[in-house]
Amino acid sequence: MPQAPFEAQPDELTAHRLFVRVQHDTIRQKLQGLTDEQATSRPTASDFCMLTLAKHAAFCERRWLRQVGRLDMTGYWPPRDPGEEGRVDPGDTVESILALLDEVGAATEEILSGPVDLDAIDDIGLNARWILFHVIEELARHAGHADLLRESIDGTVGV
Amino acid sequence: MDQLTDLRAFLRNQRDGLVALLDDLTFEQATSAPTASDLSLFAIVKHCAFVERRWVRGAIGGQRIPGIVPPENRDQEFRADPGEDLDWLRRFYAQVVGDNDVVLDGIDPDAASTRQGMTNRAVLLHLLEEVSQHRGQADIIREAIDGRKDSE
Repeated sequence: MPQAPFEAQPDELTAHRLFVRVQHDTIRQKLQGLTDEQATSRPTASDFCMLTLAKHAAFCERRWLRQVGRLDMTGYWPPRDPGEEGRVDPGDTVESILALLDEVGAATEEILSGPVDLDAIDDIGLNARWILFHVIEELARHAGHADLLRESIDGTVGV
Repeated sequence: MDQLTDLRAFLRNQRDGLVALLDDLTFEQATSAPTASDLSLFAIVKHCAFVERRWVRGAIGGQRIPGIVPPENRDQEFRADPGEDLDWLRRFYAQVVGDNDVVLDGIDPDAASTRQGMTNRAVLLHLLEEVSQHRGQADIIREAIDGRKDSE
């Protein structure tokens, strides 16, 4: 079951940062410990394997957080190669996707260490608060997918 | 519009998407556990209704409800008791949401909840993540039942 972060949340931005991190870490933990063969198997009726689920989640987090940070979106959105995040490419391994998650997670922490104006409307008509709600719901939903994929692979339940 | 309007809309959207995963299923399908998990769609939806009630009325509203806040029997959240069919489940969840809305209207997002270290906003963020995560589990279960994908 999801665990709320019980660290202190002195302000709204800190709360968002902690909740994004909890979901990010959940997905990472669901991938960690699998062999490449397990991570690329499709153990349920879904098209997802753990590797592409985690890769897709990392790409989503990265592009939305770049938008929050008002960073250059060239190649990130629209994506340079739209199929990439749903595909196991040569060189994609559990180790490489864990490294990607760590890189994305570090960038998220840096961006959400601020300053971020949660109310300011950006160039696509959204404010950072809306984007961060969306990132939390999207990562959490994928964490739910990961729960059942991982349990189907090796019986691991919870995190 | 207060800051919680958007957050409550996100929560409602995830909840509605979760409950819609029951559409066009029989009771037998909805209570089946077709994956490696023990969970059924019925169990997930009923549990989420209990979770939302517990957090909003307990942690935000500061209410004590005998048997519910604090919970006495969590097993009942994951099973269909006699008389509980899919219509009951939808009505039950709608009632929980209606009761919760009374507690949530007009609250201060930054005020402390009764849950240590958590503001009212943090409680709602936690509900967003929990309902979304359960919806993800439910996506996989629904696809295992009849192949339906919710690609939203």
